[in-house]
Amino acid sequence: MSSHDITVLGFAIILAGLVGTEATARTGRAGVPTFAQVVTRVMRTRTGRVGVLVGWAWLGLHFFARLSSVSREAIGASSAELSGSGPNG
Amino acid sequence: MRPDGVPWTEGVAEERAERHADGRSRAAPSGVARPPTPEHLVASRPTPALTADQPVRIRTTFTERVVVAISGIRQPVVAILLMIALFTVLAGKPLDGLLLAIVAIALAWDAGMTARQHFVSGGTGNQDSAQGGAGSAWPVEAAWRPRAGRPRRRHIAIGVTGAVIYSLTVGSFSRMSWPATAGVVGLGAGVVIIGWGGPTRQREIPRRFSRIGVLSWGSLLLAACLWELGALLGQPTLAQSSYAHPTISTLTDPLLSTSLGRTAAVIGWIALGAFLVER
Repeated sequence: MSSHDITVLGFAIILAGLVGTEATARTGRAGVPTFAQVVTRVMRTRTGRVGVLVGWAWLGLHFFARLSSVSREAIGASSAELSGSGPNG
Repeated sequence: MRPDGVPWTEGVAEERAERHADGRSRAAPSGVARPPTPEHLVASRPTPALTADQPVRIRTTFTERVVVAISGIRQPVVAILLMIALFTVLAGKPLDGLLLAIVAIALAWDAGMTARQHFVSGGTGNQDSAQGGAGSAWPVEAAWRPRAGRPRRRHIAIGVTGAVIYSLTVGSFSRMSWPATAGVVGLGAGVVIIGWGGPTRQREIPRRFSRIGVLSWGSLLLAACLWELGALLGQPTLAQSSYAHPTISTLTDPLLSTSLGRTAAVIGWIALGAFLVER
């Protein structure tokens, strides 16, 4: 198993954990809050509300837009092409 | 907005805080957030010497302002935003990081001032109580009255139609192009401004979560952050992607390279934003 596969597997496990936690929370028996409850709790203050929304806006900026002059010509290349090329963060 | 037409802003809160500091009036019960009804205003401002048209501000020196802002960094959301700003700069996007850092510092300042006002007014300095504690669905500083239920179907239909048109438009532009950037920045800034004004929907705020609840979500989010950080540090440089250690951005690049993929992703981004605004 290559380091690429291990990295992807790690993300997959974490994603499965998030989905599993949400499913567990929706049963209402384990004392685990749902994602919506967590977000509602975090966003009860202005700091939390604006902070979460700024984080959301940053996601859009990060994936779709560009303010700084960083070249992303490698975007859209296949995974093999991405090896060792293309700025990222 | 207060009944007399004056925005329900920090200046008024500071006014109340100074009165409490002078000992001329008593603090309202902390942790109980109520709508700014006339009764509420009368109960919290019994002193006739100061009127609503004469807000009194706490004077602070520059050093005090710095201390207040630093104290606000203790807020987890602020600390996370500053971390994101740092890595955004390190990844070669200084302007993005700078904007994020400015917002984070503004939030730190706001959080610090709120905690300070609450402390001056006789509270514990806990922002949780100062800005509406558990059970409060209507924070004191809200700029508008949140609606009670779901949006009307007509409004939902208009919103969905607009979101689809917006996504098709933004998705049709080249990724990272200036038209796409303008669209994303415009929508993002608008939503953040709405968020600053307060919640748009009245909701029951959950009480403190159990330890297992905090651990379950907290550990997963921490693991995701550390795994992403590990992949980022595994790249040749922070600004250069790697096939061997792909970050989430690298993994999503093939999807976002097509117009259809970008459109779908933008729809998902807008849906997430609508979900958050409705909290």
